Amino acid sequence: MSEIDEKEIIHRLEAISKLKPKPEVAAQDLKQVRQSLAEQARPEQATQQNVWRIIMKSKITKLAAAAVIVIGLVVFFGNGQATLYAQVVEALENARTIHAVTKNLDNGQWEKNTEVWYEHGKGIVETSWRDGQKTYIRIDNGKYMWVYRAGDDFAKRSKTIDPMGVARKLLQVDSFRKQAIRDPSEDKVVNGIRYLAYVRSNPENTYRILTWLDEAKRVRGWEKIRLLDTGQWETYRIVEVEYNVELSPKVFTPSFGEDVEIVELDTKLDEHFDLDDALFTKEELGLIFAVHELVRCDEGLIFAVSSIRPTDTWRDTARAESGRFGVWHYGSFQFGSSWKRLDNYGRGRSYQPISLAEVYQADLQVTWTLFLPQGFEPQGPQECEFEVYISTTGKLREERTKDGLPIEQNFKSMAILPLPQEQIPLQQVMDDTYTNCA
Amino acid sequence: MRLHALLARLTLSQDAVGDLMQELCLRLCQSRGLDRAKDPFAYAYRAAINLAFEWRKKTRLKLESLDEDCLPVQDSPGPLATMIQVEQLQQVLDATSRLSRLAREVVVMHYIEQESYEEIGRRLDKKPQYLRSVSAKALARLRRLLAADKSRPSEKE
Repeated sequence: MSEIDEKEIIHRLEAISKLKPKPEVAAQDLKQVRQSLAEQARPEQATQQNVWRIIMKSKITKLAAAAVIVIGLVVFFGNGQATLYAQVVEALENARTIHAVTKNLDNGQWEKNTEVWYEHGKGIVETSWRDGQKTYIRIDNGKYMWVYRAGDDFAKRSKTIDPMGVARKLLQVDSFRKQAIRDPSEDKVVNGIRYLAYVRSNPENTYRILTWLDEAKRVRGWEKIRLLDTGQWETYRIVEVEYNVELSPKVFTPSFGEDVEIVELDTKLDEHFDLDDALFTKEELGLIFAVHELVRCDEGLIFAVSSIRPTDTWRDTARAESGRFGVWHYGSFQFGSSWKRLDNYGRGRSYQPISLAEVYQADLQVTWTLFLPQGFEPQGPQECEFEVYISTTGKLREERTKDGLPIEQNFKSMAILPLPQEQIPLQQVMDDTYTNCA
Repeated sequence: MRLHALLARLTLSQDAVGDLMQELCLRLCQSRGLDRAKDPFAYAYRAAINLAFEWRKKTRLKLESLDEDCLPVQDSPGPLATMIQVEQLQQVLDATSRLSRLAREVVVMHYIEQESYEEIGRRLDKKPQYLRSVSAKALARLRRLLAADKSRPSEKE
């Protein structure tokens, strides 16, 4: 077969340049991306999910018009009202206690959906409700966070994730950083207190959020309103907020019932995947990659448990500075095949990775992987070479970009570790993996 | 439409385009660079190129990943011809993903997006002459990479 020349390469690149999606597909997807952008601009109730996960899980992921995207970003993420935002944040932080209840309209009835208690210095408690039953409790005292789901016989305890962030999110405080517009026609007086209305809507004006502030710039409530097919507006979610009411200290006590065991999630994972016990560790891009377990299985397969986490320096700095609500996740990694040429006849050998499972907790990612060695002698390899592609994310990525440091890199030969001679049945490894992940 | 079309060309996968478009939006939202950029579109454009190649590096593409909706409308080759064509396009894109960031951007902008070196120079804030030499070097490297790939045994072997 003839050698590929540059003309052929240009020909192929030009062939790619002629590819284009069908206009009707693009048009449909443009609509969906607009909706998605509007969704993103719409602050949701306090849940533990972060925006990335919500968006990436969403099925509304198709094509869009570039110009619209860029314009959309400017519209949705400009910060023209920073002063008001700063005042609202300050007012919230000065509150001694906060009690807020969200309600959803369900079959014409208002149902309690979330209830939050916050006390300065004590933390926050968030509960979710469905059909009048408590389904979820989260207590965060600024040091630890407990999460309990109704029906479980255990509650998870882990490190705190920003109690004030929960309150900010529930009260839609970030909307004042975006495009909240003053609307005096919606002002109201409640118990002698004047509430000033601010409104936000999506570009199609089919969805609005009305938020009320009192004179002290405290969020007093909000309403989500949607346009029905009948042309009428319907309020479908509301929040009512009280400040400086007395809260029972019991509220902040992590007590979930006699039979409920408290599981120390961070400790468990930290103990299980302790760097001191790892087979291999290496610091790269502000992250520490580690291999914790390496097993020779039957069928010639290799099994490995590996992890990635930020360095202690970065972890502490980021946690101290972070006002974000959500899981701290600073980077991820993927394995390559470590393909290597063996001779001049084009023969090579590789370890094809097959991902079995992944677990994320706080800033730790743990991955269980099978490797399929190819191109080796019949007795199989005596060692395993790890090709690792590391990519920073979030705040770490931002900071490294700002400092002009690499944000992602492929490490062709990150580690070469000897394989144990003893073989473990693959079935046993799979069973253990399932148990560990669960 | 340009960012979308660009992502579609670089991934050859309509499903991936949807996800990447979302990711691009979010990255741009979180980045301070967009606010500071002299030309926000050029910034978004380069971000899209890098994102698409990041994705290529992470994903081992299979032949069937090319959606029909991404195929050129005017041609309707048979299934075998399509497969061969797709494989060739995948190969050249995979090789492009192994170029340096600048070389990759120049190759994409000039040969795939059909922009002149003057236009690319404005986007990247570089001299057109310099970009021509980057491009020439990139093509030579692509040739070597593709030749090396060709000599690799296929998975079936």
